[in-house]
Amino acid sequence: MTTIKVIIVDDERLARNELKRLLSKHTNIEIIDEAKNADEAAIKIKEHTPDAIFLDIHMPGSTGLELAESLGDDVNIIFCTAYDQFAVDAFSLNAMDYLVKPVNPQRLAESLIKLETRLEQAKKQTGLPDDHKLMVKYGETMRIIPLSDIIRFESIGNHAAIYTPHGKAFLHSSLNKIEAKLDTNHYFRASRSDIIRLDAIESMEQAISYGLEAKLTNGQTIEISRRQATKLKQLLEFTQL
Amino acid sequence: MFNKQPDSALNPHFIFNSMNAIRYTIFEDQEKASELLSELAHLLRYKLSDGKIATSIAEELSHITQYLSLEKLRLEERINITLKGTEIGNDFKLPCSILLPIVEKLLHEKDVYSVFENTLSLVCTKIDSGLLFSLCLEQSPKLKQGNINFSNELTPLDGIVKYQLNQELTPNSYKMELKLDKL
Repeated sequence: MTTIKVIIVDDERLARNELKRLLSKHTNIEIIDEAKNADEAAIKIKEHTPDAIFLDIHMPGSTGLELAESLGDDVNIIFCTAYDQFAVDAFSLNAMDYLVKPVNPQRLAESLIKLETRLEQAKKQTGLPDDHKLMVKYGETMRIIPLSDIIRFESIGNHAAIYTPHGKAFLHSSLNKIEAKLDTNHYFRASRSDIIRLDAIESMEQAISYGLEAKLTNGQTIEISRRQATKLKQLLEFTQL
Repeated sequence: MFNKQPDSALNPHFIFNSMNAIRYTIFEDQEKASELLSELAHLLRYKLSDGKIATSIAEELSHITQYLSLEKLRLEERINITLKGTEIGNDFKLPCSILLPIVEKLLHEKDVYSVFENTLSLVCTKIDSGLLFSLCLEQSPKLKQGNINFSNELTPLDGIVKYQLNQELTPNSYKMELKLDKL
């Protein structure tokens, strides 16, 4: 289950705490910060780049609507206010959802499912296509290869080694940054140190560590951590449906 | 029961925000939550009969205290409230609720919710002919300027109670005094 990072923006401490209490029942939600006005929120959103914000409207200084307008589509916004008089304005600002206080836990759960779906879709949409061209240096030779040629990314310090039909090469990027750009339909984070291409998996076996061992088309064997193995099984089951 | 106008005496924002704050207080301090819920219930019951029943200054002041206690719960350090003379006025009758709507209108017109620092003083004093009800609101960084039109709130007194209203503004404070002759 993907962790969703959120920031709560509300001028009232009790309202923030109440939302924190309700969100604590959702284990995939991580409240990374909170803000008590729009200006403070703008700084914290820039600093943490959350997946979503829960935003009150009526606050000292700039209103929640003004903040939403300044943020544009950069972050998913769930407005959370006492009365629905601002609902039309909120939705015209492309709000993801609009909750009224006191928040109904069932309604919040529905909103979070909607958020999760939207984030998954966004991730798929932003993934680079298979035919995306990459300039890669093999020793002294430069080659232009399609992304789909890479069957494994391996973390080596601040760099990543890539494995292709032409051999091994290096990219000046961390595995986390690479993962963020990949299409999850084709690539899978096997462990902290590896991302593998799904259609490059020839076979899999149970590993001693309760994870899995995947044999790739290039002959390499990669360990898939226990946690990720569970996720992979779920992913492939879902794909078959 | 609800009026959508932002300057309404019975503002839905107040009701739902209070309910939300009380709900969290249940997990923080059950005794306090119980007390606040009773206050909200009393206030709503009083409001449901608003304009229909005669009341007394003492009853009005008691409900103002409840109302402000709920506002304080939400706004916490953003509002300081001082009440003086709220125990007087039991023998002073009013044709209907007047003072509570005035306090509510003041808070909404001067938009205490959008201001970082508010200081509200309420003083009730017996005078020869009746009673002096005064409110003073100081706001920082600045006060929303302009006098407040209380004609809707005061109209029910016309021909029944003699009254005189004075309002005074400075860059950071608003003061109103309502002199009421005994009914």
